[in-house]
Amino acid sequence: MAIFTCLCLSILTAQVARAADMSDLSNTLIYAGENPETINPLLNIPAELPSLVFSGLMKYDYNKPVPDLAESYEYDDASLTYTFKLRKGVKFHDGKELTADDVVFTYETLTKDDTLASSVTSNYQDIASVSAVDPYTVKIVMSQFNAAMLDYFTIGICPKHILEGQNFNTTPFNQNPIGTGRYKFVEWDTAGNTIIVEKNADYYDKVPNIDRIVYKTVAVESTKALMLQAGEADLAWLNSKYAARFRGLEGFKNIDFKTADYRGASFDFHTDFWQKNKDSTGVLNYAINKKEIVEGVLVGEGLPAYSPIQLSTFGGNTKADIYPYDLARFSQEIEKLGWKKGADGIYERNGQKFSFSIQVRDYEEERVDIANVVSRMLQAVGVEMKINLVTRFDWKAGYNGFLAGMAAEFDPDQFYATLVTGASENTMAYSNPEIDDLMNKGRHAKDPNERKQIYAQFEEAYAKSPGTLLVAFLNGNYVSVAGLDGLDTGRVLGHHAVGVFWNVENWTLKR
Amino acid sequence: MSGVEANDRLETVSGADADDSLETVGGADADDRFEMVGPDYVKRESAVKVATFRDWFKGKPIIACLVFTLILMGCLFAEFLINHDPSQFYLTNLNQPPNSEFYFGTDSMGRDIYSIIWQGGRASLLIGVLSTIILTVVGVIYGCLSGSTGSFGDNVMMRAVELVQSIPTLLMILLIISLMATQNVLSISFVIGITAWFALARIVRSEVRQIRNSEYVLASRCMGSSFLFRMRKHLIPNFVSAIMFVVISSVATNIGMESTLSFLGLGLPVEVLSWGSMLALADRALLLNTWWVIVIPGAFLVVTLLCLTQMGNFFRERTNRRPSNI
Repeated sequence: MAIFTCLCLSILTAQVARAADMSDLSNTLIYAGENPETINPLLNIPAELPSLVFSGLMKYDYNKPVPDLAESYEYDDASLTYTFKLRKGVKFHDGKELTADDVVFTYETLTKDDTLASSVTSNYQDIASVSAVDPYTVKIVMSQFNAAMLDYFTIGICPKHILEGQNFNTTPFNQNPIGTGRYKFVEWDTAGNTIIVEKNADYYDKVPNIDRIVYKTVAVESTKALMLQAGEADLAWLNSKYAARFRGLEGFKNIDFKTADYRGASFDFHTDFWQKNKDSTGVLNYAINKKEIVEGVLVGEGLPAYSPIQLSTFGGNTKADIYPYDLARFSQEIEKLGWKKGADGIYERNGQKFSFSIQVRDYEEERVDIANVVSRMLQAVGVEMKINLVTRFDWKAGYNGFLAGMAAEFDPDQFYATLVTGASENTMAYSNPEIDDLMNKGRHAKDPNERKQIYAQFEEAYAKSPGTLLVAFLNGNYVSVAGLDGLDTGRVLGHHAVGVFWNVENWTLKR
Repeated sequence: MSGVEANDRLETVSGADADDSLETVGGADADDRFEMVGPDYVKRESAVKVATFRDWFKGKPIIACLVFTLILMGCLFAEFLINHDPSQFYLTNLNQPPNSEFYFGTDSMGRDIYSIIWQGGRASLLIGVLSTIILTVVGVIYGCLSGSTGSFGDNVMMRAVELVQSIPTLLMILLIISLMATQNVLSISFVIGITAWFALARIVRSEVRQIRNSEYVLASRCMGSSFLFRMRKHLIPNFVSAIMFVVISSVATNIGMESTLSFLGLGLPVEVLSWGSMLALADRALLLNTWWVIVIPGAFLVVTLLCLTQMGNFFRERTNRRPSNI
């Protein structure tokens, strides 16, 4: 008891000391979010913090790109050239002015630096050259037209005067970032799992109302919910079950976004099993009762998935929804592929059992639940999916896949890097010539109607030989304290419900 | 063999006790052999009662035994008791409080708690028993060796035990588990057993030191018996009742340890059902206000542990009552 009291006291005094240190908490938002390794727009795209600390040539207004650091831009179709006029007087958080050199430096790193280990480089491969005409004008010449390029120009601009000559993957800048964004980085307390950012009073556009954001890095879903409940966090993305618990509770608000974020079992085509059984990925869809998973695991907060770009622009071709939940059909189709049920009730072909493993991170409870249910449904029909709970993904352990999530909340071309053979984010080694072709056509087509058709074809082609057993799209269920206003659910969020801070400058917090 | 002998011995001991009591009774009431019969003769009842059923039960942990047998039977014959598939997710029946279809309710994934308890109890009890067997074998052999060798060897062996014992058990288990791949019932039992035999070895060693110079042990040595033979024929039968308490309480401790490990997420994989892996869902249940998900498996665990402790306690008291054999 004495020890317990001591502990409580020490925690209390620590908290008081902290509070005194940060002077006034009344206009500080405490956000419980994922644990980032870096805050660098080039290294981790789908993350909240880079979007706060950095800003790009363009930004998303809802889900459409509009000029941000650029005052205006022009595109000359004949010479395939974008000309950006930059805002004057934009300062990095260290006081130095942003010029065309910084923009050139950022884009040259993306396109020319071979050491850069980034998942997005494939999105910039059509850039032929970047040059500064004068300190406020940047010319970007393309090698061919890229329909999603304006989206990709939203990437944050990094300061040349700090990063020149450094290795982007390892520079201390990644933990101590300086950008031009709405919030300035203050400190990263790795022991206290806290990242603090403060509003940028010199911001070139609307300065945010909320003075400070304390970003608590917690990965465990139940911890986030407990923190909200205990008043230790003001805003967090919760899984649908925990979010449901806060509905109608006094002092809390549920803010439900749409996301383009799906969950499914992604197959690793590096592994021998899927190399040999590429043809048998789609058939598994017949055995999964996706509707029941949405109703049960997601308590209705989502919808059954049939295509990765179902909720993106141009996506949602219902002709790609070719797998009804039908167990009789499943056994018919799988036997057509040459699988026979073995003595133990598991399908076999060429002496190999239909048995594969996936890894799931143990703290992502919703994914663990989905994996468990899917595994159970597959087992019921004679396919074994073993689940390995890990604390960190281990890509070398030889698992046949993982419980994946991905999103293209803007342009379907966001899947280019993941699905095209050899592209920068194709970590599962998915390779399908038809998909490569359609993805390339879609990227370089100009006419929106033509693109719509191409992506409709893509969805049908992908459904026939999917790299992921798609299960469901999630809603982005945020929960906040009642005093937080201004969140705009008009934006469709991305993977891990990222993008909630898109209009943070309009938020207000009343305690 | 040794078991039979132990029983024999127990019987003789209790026989001797009974004789003693008879004698004293006889001494006090010596005059009863002659009864004076007179006009106001009242028939007197004999002071020595025939042992009734009730007397036999006296002091024995009957309720604990009964309850434990019930739980054990329930787990062994789970197939006849359960009314749902324990590993099935009833996604249309999430977080149901106890009702007539799901007797103990369902958890947030629609699993039937009632069916899991019986099925999961198997793993928990099996781990408890298996790890106890491991710790008993290791502890007894080590204790006998240490007790039988000379004082130098004994010193070294006991200091070694003390040294390892000073490492917290949980820490040691975590270290061993981190070296192993995925867990199953056998490997968990092994890890728990291999880290829990130290206390037993010390008790065995002190018992062995008391009897190692008895004439029958010396005689056996002189006749060239092997260590294992002496351990089996002379040592174990003499201390088996003394360590019974430790062994039975170990079952309880080990079941508790499995629950602790599974609760921490270090024990059995999620798809292997046990009481511990059920308790691992506790924080989720707290958030979702589903008390039955924690309270019911918790109650089963606590009741089982209480029963085992009661039974262990009975053996301890009996050993303490017995005349010392120094």
